[in-house]
Amino acid sequence: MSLIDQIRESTIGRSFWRAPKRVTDRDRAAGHWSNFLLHIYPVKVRRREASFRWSWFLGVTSMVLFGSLVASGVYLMFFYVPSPSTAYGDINFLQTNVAFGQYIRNIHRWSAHLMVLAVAAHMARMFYRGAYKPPREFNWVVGVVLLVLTLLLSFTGYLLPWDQLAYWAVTVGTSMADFVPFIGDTIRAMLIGGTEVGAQTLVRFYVLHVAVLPAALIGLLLLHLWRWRKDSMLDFGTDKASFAPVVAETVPAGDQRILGYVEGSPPVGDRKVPAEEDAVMVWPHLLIRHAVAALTVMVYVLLLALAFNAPLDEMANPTVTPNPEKAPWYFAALQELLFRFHPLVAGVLVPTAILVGLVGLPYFDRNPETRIKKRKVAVATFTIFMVVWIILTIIGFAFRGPNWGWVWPWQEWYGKL
Amino acid sequence: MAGAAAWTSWDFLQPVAGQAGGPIATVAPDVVPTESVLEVPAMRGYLTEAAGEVVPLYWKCPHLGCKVPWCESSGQFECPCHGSVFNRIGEYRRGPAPRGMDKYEFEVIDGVIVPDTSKIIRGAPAGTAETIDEPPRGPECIDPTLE
Ligand code: HEM
Ligand code: FES
Repeated sequence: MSLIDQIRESTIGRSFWRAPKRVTDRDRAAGHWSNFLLHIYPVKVRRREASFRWSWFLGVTSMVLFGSLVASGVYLMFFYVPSPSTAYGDINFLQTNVAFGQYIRNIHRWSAHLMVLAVAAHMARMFYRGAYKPPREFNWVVGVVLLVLTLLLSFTGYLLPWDQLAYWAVTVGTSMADFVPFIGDTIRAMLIGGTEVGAQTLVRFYVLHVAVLPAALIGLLLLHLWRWRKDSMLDFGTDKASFAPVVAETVPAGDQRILGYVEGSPPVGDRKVPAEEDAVMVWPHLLIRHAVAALTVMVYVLLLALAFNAPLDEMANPTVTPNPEKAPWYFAALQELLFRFHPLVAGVLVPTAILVGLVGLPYFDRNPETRIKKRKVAVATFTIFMVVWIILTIIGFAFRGPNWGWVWPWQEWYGKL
Repeated sequence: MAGAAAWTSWDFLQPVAGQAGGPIATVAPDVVPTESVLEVPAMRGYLTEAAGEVVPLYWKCPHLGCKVPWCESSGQFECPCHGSVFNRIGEYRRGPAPRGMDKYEFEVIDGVIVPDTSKIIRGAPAGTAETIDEPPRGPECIDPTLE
């Protein structure tokens, strides 16, 4: 018996590892039910759930990046005091005097950018798969809120280093609120705690960034995962062809419960389960893929953080606006619109319309079809919006220089991350 | 209950009074330039004059809040962020800003101009005719090819 086995077999070991060794499928199933983390998965899922093209594992990727942000963010909190007189110095100190401080900051910064990217890409993938259609409408809505929370987290974090980049991006970003009819001034004042970005703003953004928004995000993420389990992983109900009826004689009631097919319905009877060839055990088939996806993302982030340092501009100076003044890249499209249209249109109406459109999508688009060829209108509309948005983002990010004038990125580079 | 929570939070999170500035003593009216502007960081703005009357401008761009620098060569305010341009007394000329630059209310106390930075008078909406006749007197500081 190996040492590990001996430990597992001891009294303490057995109180900790409840699951038997995973030899048969039944052991594996039992392992699921007794494990807090694995419990989020059902025991078996349809084969497609484990394939790359089903989700491109972008949801898992987003979650891993969030985990990386929590871990690195808590580390940063040990060294950071949110006040204009200390913030910039703290970041400087962190980078130059704290062991691995710069590295942790890089991880936090690059994970943040990647998380915005991953969440947005996840949404696009779910759109093209038609994953917002019944019964998953509500989870799509939760997903949209998660995207908004991610953007807010990133935006509030952006201010914290209190450098020129941060100060002016937040000045411009929060000024958009001014143009909300009637309550705009009040909203902005609440957000920044005064009339200009200053000490109050920094504290407010800090509290939002490290407490309010992460808590909200975690809460909604749990809801999102739970609905994923209910509506997607346990969804054996749409594609009739791949189902075989359960016959009471062949599947004992006990096994059925353990296999988790019976969510809230009588354990035996004419309940349908997937045909054997359409279902795979989560352990190991789905888990191994998720693990590989997670590790790939982490390796990528860790290498990125080794290769590139997070930028730190000069300390914030309310008397000098840098030229060009650029918002973070995920707001570059908005900034480009703000350059062209009245702020009420570009800063308020357009974002509101986009949000309403995204939240309402599952309710406007009643076509039950999920195949792309049968959803021409929805797919074309979404694709056009997405492409326009990406083009505006690239223009704002890379093709704009001093005075928001046009520059060719290969001649001069003004993009800032 | 949600209503009560929202209402209390709303109340709690209002900015603390006094954050919005107040009266700031600056300079005597005869120091204020007539064809240029005087930058006064303490009041976050510029002093200039029109027809003998002091004009204390808030330096914040009415578009999205960048600080609008004065361009000596053209004699206008030119915002580097998205290219809004204002004349010497902050009136709208062109660009995405929806109105002219804001001003402060002010008093002259003991021969000193005292703008009150908590009392802001909004600039006139874009499209309002300019009240001074000072076309750009030379090259602009921002790229003149911007529309
Ligand atoms: C519980 C989770 C989190 C904690 C405790 C946390 C904590 C912090 C702290 C203390 C800073 C200031 C240090 C610095 O600027 O380097 C910071 C910065 C930042 N955070 Fe977070 N954070 C969390 C999650 C997130 C998430 C989910 C995002 C975005 C998706 C994000 C984006 C940012 C950004 C963009 C910065 C500026 C980074 C920089 O300039 O280096 N954070 N965070
Ligand atoms: S902030 Fe001045 S033009 Fe946009």
